[in-house]
Order: sequence, then structure tokens, then C-alpha cells
Amino acid sequence: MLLLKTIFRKEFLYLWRYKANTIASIIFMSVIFLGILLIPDTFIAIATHGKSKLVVLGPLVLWLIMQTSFTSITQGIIGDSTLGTLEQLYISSGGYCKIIFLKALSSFILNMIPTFSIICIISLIIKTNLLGFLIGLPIIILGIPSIWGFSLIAGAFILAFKQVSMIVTIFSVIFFSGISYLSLKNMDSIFFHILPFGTSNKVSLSIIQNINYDFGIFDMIMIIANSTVYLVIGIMCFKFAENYAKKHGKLGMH
Amino acid sequence: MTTISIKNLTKYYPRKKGAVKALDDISVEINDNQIVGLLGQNGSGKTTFIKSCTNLITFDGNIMLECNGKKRKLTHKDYSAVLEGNRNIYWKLTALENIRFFAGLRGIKYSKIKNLANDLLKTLYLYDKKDCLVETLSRGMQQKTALICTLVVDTPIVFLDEPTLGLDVESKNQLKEFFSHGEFVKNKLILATSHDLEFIRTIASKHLFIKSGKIHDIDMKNINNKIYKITFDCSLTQNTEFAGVEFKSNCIYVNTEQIRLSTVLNYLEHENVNITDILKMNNDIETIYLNFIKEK
Repeated sequence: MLLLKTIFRKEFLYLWRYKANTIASIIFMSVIFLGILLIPDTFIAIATHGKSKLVVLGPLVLWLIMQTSFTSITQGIIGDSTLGTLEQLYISSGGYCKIIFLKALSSFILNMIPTFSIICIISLIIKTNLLGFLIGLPIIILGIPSIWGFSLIAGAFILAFKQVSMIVTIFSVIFFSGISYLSLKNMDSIFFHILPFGTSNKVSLSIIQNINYDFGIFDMIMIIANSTVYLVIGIMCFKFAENYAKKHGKLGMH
Repeated sequence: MTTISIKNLTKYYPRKKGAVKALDDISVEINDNQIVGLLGQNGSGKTTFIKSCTNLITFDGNIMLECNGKKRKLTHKDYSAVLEGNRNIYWKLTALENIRFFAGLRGIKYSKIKNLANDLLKTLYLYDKKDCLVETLSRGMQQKTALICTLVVDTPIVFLDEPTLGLDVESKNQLKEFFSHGEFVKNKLILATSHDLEFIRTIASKHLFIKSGKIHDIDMKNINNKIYKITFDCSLTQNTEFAGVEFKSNCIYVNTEQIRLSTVLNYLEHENVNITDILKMNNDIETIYLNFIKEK
């Protein structure tokens, strides 16, 4: 608990120290959300073949959650390598994996607070029912470990090969945009369940869009299994990369 | 009594053009309550040695901690380290926030180390700057902050990789003072690497020299530091009466542990030799180090 508190405090202080950056991203997010919600219904209906604004807003919010959860781990590894603190974190804790998990968790909480606050404020201002976002939150939380596991796989590449951060960033943007796009198609293939955050994305999107989705035990098992499998694979890949980096003396290098 | 027992420590870095040997079958024992200076040229294996001890690289061989007759592997709870000096800490946090953060990572509550942290901050002249962001501090202050973050967790073993790198004379002297007389380094085993020979000479009680991945234990107590060079403007023939005097063409080397300097000077005066220079030879750690790295 002390470790979580310590890391959460540091993450919060970093957000606070980069005030301008933090405020700018909150304003940017608010403008985008408001922009979508203020577009006349008729335009949205034409673009989305008669569906509501939530068809656009839902995937956007989920994409944002996936992307920030992913980058909180990958950018954390890149940041610690570049700053020179990575080896110090290893020495101080006897391992890095648990630190990046707690860092990702702290970052998730700190990102979700402004995101959902904005959603709630906007829904009150423009009197749109955005309750689905709050109802879908537990499903999102259950699915997030799969993104962390997936980003640990990317983190393993960063740790072992160092100069792949740009490739990882580009890949993640395309990959998560792809998942958001596929979820819009309302796919029901097994392929979608295999993707990280696949089932969570699909179920939470249905809840957000107020679709009468029949959420059952199968979905729940799939969400938990998806998260567990990706997390285990991610940890294994990261440990493997850690050994590779230690063998080649590349742990702290960037 | 705590001892780090290193046996057959060997490290190869795999590279495309073949493996590079960084540490070559090192076996050494380091005891607690001493500061050990590890000296060596760039690329000699100093950092690799510390990284092996701190488990930041894989290696062949054994590094064990011997404590009260029991042997076990070193764990992160046994040691702390300053590896890259001022790059070891978060620049967007204050000095105190960094101290708190790194203690927290080890599960140590700030309330438990508050007094020690304040004492260290005061001793290293950083107390007034404790609430300043690290990025606004000078290089020396950043280095000292990293040192406090390391010492505040109070581990029995501390590794310092080039703690004086980039420091000005004042900061260096403060560190020298700190390690030479500081109560905070008592009962600890400190291993420090540095290119600053004077710093190591001042603080260390044991000196290890490393070359091409091999460590040599140099006993500084047996090093003669009392040799004088007397230069004159003529040549003298060897006088075998004087033990401890080495005759060269226009100079002599006098070992004052074997013969009094005044005796030799009286002799030279008697011989009507015109002395042009008397120099106390700097036959200290620097000379020994330079001779060591020249040796094949």
C-alpha cells in the first residue's frame, strides 16, 4: 500500500508540475467532447446511418482510455531509461515490473478522474444522458489489465532494443484505432475476443450507447480471461526482455 | 561482521563481433566498516563490477553476503547505490520529494527517516534547498541529493559510481569531509569508484585497482611516501656508504626512511655539489596508479 501511495504521489506531482500540459489536454478533451455533442443530430444521423452521437463519442472515449493506459507503461519505461532513473528503480525495489504496474494504475486513476468529470459536467450542461459511461466503467476497469499486458509486450521490445519507441507509438495508435473501428462494426467473431480489451470494448460500448445488449456470464469470463492471458504473456515477455537487457548490459541505456 | 565475498566473477558482453570480456575471474572479499576505493581507467570494468553487485547485469560466478557466519545472496535490501549521479533522481520533484519517493519504494515511511533526512540535508549543506525542484539545483547539489536518497534508506552496503563526477572543488571537499569524518558512513561498507585519485586516497581505507577486468588489491600502507629527489649541476659517482640513496647522472633519490635528508645534504655540501633543486617525490596513489596502468 505504501508503494502504491508513493508512486501515486509521484505521478500526481508530475502532473501538477506539468500543469500547462495537463490543463491543455483537459481543455482539448473537453472541446472535442463538446464539439461532438453540439453537432446537430441530423449531421450525426447522416454520418452514422441514423445512430446517436454516442456512436462517435463512445469509441472515442474508449480509444482514449486504451491509448493512455498503453502509453502510461511504454512512456514510463522510455522516460525512466532516458532520465537515468530506471536502474535506480530496480535497485530500490528489487524489480521494475510491480513499479510500472502501480505507475500504470496511478496513471489510470489520474486520467480517469478528469475524463469522467468532463463527461459528467458536459452531460449536465447540455442535458444529454451520458450515464452509460459510468455504468460501463466497471467493464472498462476489468478489461484494462489486458492493455497493460499488451503494453508490457511493447515495453519488452523497448527494454531490449531501446530505439523502437516511435514504432511502438505509431503501432499503438493504429492498433487501438483499429479496435475502436472494429467495435463500431458490431462484430461478433471470436477474433474480436482475442484482441486485447476486445470483449471489454464491445460490451462497454454497447452499455455506453444504450444498446440493449445481453451481457452474460460468457462475456464476463471472456473479459477476465482476456485480461489474465494478456497480463501473463506481458509479464513473461517483459521478464524475458529484462534478462536479455541484463545479459547485454542494456538495462539503463537509452 | 558483514563481508561481501566475490568468487570467480566473470562478465562477457555479447556483441556482434564477438563477446567482450568486461570482468575477468575476479575473486575478492570486502568487509564492512570500511570505504573501498575502486580505481581504473575508462572501460576497465568499474561500472560493470558495481552493476554485477547490484544485480543490474547477469554474470558468471558468485557474489555472496557473509553475515555472522551465514552466507546468502545479496538482495536489494542489503544495498543502495548512486549509479549515474544526478541522473538517478527525478528532476521535476524537490530534493525532499525525491528522498521520500526512494524511501517509499523500499517500504520505508517518511516519518521513520525524517530526522535522518534532515541531518543529512544539513550536513551536506542542502537543508535550505530541500524544497527546491532538483532541476533548479546545481550539479553538485543534485549529486548530493542523489547521495542522500541513497544513504537515507540506511542499507549496510552502499555503492557509489563516480560520486565526484562533474563536481566543483567546494562540493568535492564537502563530500571528502562527509566520507572522511561523517557519522553517517559508520558501520557501512562503501564501495566507491572514481577517477579522482585524491578523493579516493582521502576517503578510502582499502584500494582496489582494476585493469582489463581484473582487480588488484593495493596495500597503500606499504607505499613509501618519503622519497626526495635532489638535482645538481654535475655528476656524482655512486657512494655505496649510503643505504637508501639511489645515484643517477645528475640527481639522487633519497629514501628518508633509511637515511636522514640532512646527512645526504651535508655530504653533498662536503663534495662541493651545487644543488639546483630538491623535490619531494609524489610517490603516492597517483604514481602508483599510473605505474599500475602502465604495467603489462
